[in-house]
Amino acid sequence: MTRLRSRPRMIRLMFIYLAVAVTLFWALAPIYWVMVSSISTRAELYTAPKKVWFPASPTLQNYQDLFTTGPKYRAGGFLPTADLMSRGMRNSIVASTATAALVTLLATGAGYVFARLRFRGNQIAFFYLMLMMPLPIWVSLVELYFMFSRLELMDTLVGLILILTTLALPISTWLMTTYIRDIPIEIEDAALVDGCSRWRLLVSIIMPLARPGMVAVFLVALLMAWNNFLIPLIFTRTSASQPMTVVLSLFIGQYEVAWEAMSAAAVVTMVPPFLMALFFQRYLVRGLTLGAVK
Amino acid sequence: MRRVLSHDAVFIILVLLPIIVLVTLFIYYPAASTFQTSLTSENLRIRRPAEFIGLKNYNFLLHDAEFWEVTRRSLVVVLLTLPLEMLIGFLVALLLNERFPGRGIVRTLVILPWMMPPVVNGFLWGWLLNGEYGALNGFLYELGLINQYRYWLRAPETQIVWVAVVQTWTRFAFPMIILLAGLQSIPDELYDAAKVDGAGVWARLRAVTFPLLLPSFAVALVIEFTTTFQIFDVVWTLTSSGGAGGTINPFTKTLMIFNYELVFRDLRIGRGAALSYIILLMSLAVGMIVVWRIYRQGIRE
Amino acid sequence: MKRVSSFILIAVLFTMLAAPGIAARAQQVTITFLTPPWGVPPNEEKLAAFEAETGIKVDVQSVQMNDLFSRVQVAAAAGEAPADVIFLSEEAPSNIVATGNMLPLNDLIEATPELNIDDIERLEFFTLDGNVYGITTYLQMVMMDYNAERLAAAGFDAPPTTWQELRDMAVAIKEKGIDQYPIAFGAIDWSWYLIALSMGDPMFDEDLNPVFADEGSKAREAMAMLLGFFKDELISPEMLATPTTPHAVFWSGVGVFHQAWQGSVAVGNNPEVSAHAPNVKYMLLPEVGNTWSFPAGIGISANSKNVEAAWKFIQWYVSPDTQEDIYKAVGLYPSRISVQQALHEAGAIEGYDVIAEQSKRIHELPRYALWWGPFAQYATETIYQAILTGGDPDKVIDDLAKEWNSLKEEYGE
Repeated sequence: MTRLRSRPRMIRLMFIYLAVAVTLFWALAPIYWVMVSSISTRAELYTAPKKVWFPASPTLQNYQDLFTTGPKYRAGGFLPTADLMSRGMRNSIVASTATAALVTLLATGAGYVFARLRFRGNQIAFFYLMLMMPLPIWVSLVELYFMFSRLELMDTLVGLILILTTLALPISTWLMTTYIRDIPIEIEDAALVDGCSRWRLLVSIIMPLARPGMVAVFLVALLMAWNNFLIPLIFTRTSASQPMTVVLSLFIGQYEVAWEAMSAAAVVTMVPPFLMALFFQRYLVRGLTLGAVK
Repeated sequence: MRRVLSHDAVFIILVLLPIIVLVTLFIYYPAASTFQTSLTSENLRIRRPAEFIGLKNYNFLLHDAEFWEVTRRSLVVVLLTLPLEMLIGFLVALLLNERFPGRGIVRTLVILPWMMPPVVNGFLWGWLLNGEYGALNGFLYELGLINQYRYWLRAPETQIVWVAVVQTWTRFAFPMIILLAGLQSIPDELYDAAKVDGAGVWARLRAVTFPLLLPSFAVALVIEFTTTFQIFDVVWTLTSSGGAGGTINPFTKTLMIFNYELVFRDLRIGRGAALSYIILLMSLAVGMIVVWRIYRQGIRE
Repeated sequence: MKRVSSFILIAVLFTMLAAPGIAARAQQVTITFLTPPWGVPPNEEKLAAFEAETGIKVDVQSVQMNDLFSRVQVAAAAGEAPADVIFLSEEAPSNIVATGNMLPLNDLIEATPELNIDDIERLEFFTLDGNVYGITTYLQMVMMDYNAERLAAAGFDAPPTTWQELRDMAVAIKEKGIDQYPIAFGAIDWSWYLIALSMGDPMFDEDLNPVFADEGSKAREAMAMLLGFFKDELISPEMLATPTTPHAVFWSGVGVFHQAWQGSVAVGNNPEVSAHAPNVKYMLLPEVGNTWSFPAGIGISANSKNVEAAWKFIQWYVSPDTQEDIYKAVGLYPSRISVQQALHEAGAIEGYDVIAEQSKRIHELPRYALWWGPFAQYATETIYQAILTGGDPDKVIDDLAKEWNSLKEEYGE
């Protein structure tokens, strides 16, 4: 489609940008408020009826306090030093990224097997994987706790990664199975006829074609791990493996919430996944199509 | 689907084994123990050892008024949230499937709500909806739509509605990503062919997009149904006081909050375990229906 | 493709790098202290000095109270110790002490005369069946404070001495436009206990029967009064957004009379936190003026493997020096009588006289009852529901009595 008639194209773009504006407003308005809160003082937050939409004198004090000891955050409360924040961030990044990578890898392989290979037990294996997906995890925690402590996985990043990976596997496998099914079989047939091994087929041909799917699964697993609160709460204890979600809950005081401080912490917490998503979203593009076969 | 060649067996085993091991170890093994617990009267407050009582816990729950009320409420949340969420996710995916300058950054920005840490999310919205100083009030006041601040979360009916709104806002990016990836796998040729046949935008959607998107849509639907049915974070941080105490709000008590209450407040572990399994069965039932109808149909086409 | 594989490589490297980050098993003894944020020892240097002196490394794990209970319960159910030393809040007796998660400390106390156990108040709160499960670290009791300036602006120069007077004052304040929602109470069980005890109702008898449900009891009057406050919009509807404690709303500037605690005035007069600063003062609870206390303590987990080291830490934590530091840092009232007096002499305790007077009128609630936790939860839910749906106060009381009796039957031994 190379004939560019400027007017229909402009109109199309106009509609698109209008829709984009609406979408962004819906998605970002509350986030804007978080960001504004994080650079405001408490007094500015408590204004009514006219709200301060952008503080007259924005302050980075909240961020500064975040990385130094800030006992003013809560009515009482003594926050350990910047260590807590930085280690929490490190733990979150390592745990989530490793989980996402591991999940994507395993799910893609399994997705291929379930989508393409017919063998005895294919259905059973698939159901086995899916069956417990909706089981609420509360009560299983006790047994898991027991297991973790016996296996010396308590309060370790490795343990955290293992369990987060396991929890994300059913969904991710199902997604990859679905995406791989969309890949035209002819491409594989051509490769197999040429004597390609199953492994090479998977790595060199399927994976590039399933890239959008892999990216989607990666992002899904990443965010599932990043936002998980209950698992790290029970299975991590110290800053050796405690991620940001648990660290953030400390900003809730005994009697009140230091909203300006918490919003600063929230903004900081959103930066790594944002950057990662920004980096990876470019792969959410169409892979090679049928044209490649010809 | 093709037949398996002999050397494929190694392939299959190597690929599937780690997953099977992980899932068996960390999901099935504890789940079996949970099931066993559900057949006992285990209660951490009572120091006598738990007794085996068979299906009594299940029986109790199925006859408990609170259980049904909580289930009904969870379904209401699903009805309010799911259609909206899937619709928004789908529309945004369609939008972001188009090519336009700046698409990359928009795609990332749109996922931001999902990145909001759950703890912060509840407080954010609680603060936004605050009756004395909330930003929503401020915004509407400025637009002249209200002349006095409203207490948005005061009435029990509106609490549930806001839970639905917040959940939609938080989660719409998930179906969006799945559908976007699904849209990306639809080859251009099919659209071109349809255009050549003279199909307009809507007809192209119906003939090409919908059918091919059905499997991804079904996956997203099942997962989102389960997530919404088992909603916890938003309800907890928005409507139960997240501060010291964390009192459960009876008007927004959904199944998972009820489960939390049974396990961690009442310490009735046995009954809590039984509830977990009932929730599992309910989720599976819906999941199966969606899979049978929508997913299979999508595969066929 | 190269990107994907190089990326996986990086992820694996990360994981490998993280592995050594797992704390190496120290040669010295390490104990873990599980606490909410305000229980963290405020003076890092002094803690470091303690560690150096005793060779015990203290691993402070701070989480929210709810989460603390979850952790303790999961660990206990698995037969493990969630930590060596555990902070005990006022909810702890019912949630983790009565369920057998804590170690009795009687022998340790006897063997440590330098602890000066008689200097510590309210030890009985953490004592069950003669076993001491926790050493009290700070005291809190429910009190009320108020914004004296606004009260004066409405023409009243002294706080109310009866509940009817309080109500009338509130109505006057509202009508004069000084404050639209003069009463800062929550839609929770505590608000009811406050009014009921203050009116003189005993709530429960020695056999734990719910005498609050007696015909014509003060508790019934109290419930009616509380529901009435909400009905007549003397309390901000923001309290109803969730069943919440009223402090955030009060400190944001709304309200004149505040359901508070011993130590709240320090917060109320802190301009960084409260919009009422510096006008907040304590008031004695009206009428009979009884209140209940909610101290906090510190104990050793039943499954702990480092009892000796844990005990040393506890001794340090409840020493007069540390208690003074804690008071200065977070305003929590020390449990040691000696420290209280020292601080008072130094003029460091705001509103000491009222506190002292109020603390003579304590009538405890049966926190140690095994079923107190579920009951309190049920009470808040029922009261909240009644307020939102305009329920009848007498019916609420009957409902609560029924629930209490049924729980008592289930759990009573």
